[in-house]
Amino acid sequence: MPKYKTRNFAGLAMAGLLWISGAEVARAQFTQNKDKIKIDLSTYPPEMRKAYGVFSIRCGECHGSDTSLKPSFAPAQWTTEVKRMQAMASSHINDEQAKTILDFLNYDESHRKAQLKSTASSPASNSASRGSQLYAAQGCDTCHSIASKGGSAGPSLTDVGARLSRDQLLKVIHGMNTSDPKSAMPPLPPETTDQQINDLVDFLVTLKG
Amino acid sequence: MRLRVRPNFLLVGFGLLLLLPKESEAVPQFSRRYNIKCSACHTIAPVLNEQGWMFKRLGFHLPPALEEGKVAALISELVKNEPEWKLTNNVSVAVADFSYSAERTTAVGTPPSSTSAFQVAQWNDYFGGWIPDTNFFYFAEFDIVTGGVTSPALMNANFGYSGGNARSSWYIDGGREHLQIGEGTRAAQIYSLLPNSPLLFENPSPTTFVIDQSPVGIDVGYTWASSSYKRVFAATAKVTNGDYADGTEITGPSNRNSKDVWLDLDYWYAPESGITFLDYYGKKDQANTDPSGNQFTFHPNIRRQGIFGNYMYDNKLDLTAGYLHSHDDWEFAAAGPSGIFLGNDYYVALDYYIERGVAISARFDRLNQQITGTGGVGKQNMHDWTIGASKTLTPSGNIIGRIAYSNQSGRDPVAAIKATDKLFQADIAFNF
Repeated sequence: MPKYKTRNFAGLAMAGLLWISGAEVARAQFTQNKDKIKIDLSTYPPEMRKAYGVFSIRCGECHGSDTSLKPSFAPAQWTTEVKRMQAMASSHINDEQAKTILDFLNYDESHRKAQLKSTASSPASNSASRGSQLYAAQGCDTCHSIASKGGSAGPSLTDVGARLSRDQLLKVIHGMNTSDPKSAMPPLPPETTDQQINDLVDFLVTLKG
Repeated sequence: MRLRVRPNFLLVGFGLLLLLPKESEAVPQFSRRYNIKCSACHTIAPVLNEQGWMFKRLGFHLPPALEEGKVAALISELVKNEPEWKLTNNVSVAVADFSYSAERTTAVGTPPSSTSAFQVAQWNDYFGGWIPDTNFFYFAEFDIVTGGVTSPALMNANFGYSGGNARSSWYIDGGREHLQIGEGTRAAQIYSLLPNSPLLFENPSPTTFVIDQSPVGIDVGYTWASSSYKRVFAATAKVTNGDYADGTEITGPSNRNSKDVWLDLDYWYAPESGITFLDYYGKKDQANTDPSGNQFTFHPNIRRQGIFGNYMYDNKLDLTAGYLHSHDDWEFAAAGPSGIFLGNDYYVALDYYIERGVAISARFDRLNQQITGTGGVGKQNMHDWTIGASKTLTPSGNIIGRIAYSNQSGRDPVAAIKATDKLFQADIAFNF
């Protein structure tokens, strides 16, 4: 191949590589913090609408609102979470704001999220699809992704069903509930039933890549 | 005896401001790694907040919550809980700045000049992160375009190790990295919300020393944080190769130049306020021209001491100020009379954050400089005032629009030539 053609080819290959890697980086940057959850605040009482304002300003300094609105916790767990956020560097959340945020999160938990969960546990759904709904309702996709959809903070679950057996998955999910304080993965809410854990595992084993 | 200097001394100085390396801009791969917004670590990129600064001090790991009475996580535990290593959370391919600028420069003895340009002012790529399951970290900055000129160069390439826990941590790091690696608290950070840094960081002294440089060296740092990071104390020491006589950085082994030593002490007090003290000592070759036009080289001692502080009121109004004292040996001719270059430079700035991601800024800089001795031209000063506004254009804060106007005038300390420079800039910074 003549020299100039080799150079052209190398240049094109380099440009192509940059384009591909650049496109992937740009996609990752554009998809992060893209909020999907829309709360109909008109159904919330006025004090909760006000509390939502404090929540979105303070928590929104670092997180997209999905990150905070997807996970489902019992009140005690939310208290722990908000305390933890107060103790982060540059958190700027004072005690009064922490209480307001907590009030909002608990209200959202007992209304909007409770409704989502009751839909997820309806007997009409089969086990795997109930598990899929639970996966969404618990906000697992905040950190994990399936087929490139979801967060990147935790490992991808696209082929988790091929990598781990049903028993191994059960062990991992039960392990979450040991609430290791240093673990980044939050435990499932204490009211989660064995049936719901089974549904979640039934869903995960279907993910073969 | 009066030293003869090219009349465009100051023009060259102004031009240099645009060409010199800038310390890192926002590095968006880190926000992708944790799926958090740029504003988690920056007030508005590239200005670091306390969390962003701690992130660097912990070897590029997100500082965990420090709750009262709870044991702080070890760095080795933070490492285990890091997300999966991916190219997209280790690489930034387009940290770029597209700008329009219009500038008018005048200097005694030189015809006035007006220029305007629409250009890619800056394009950097970054590779930085951690080696999975270890305490090792790395950071490299590849500049493709600097000051509107395509001049590919590896500006930073360093490798380090961090240890201890989030409350009491240390690191050791080596390679090519910015001289001001400790970075300091807000007022000592070389970058600001305005497009140009304070003059005392970027204006080369007559001995061609400038703080904004990236020499090869090794540095160690220690950081202590109280619960909720309400108080943070840090100390950093660095030994580097310094500069060549023409101001370019020495990247390999050097025989003639002594090692340069840098020390900084930082104290943050929540929310987002702090004080930094810095001290630099170096000795290096310096080229000069005697009154007959003969070039000669001498070997001056160079010293800098500075104190910087900021106070953030109500998370809205940030008052920053800095003072830098310079003391360099100076020779008017080869083996001829000697003098001392003295500088007492300061700046005061105000940033008002109207809401998250929107700010207006104003800054006043003044350089009071003098070369003592029989050939000196007496005390001279240069001052600059700049006003500007910044706004993030995306929810994650990775695209930022800025406008600024600055007016600089004064006389240089070598030949006392009066010059002025008026500059308008409008730019959009992309961080991908």
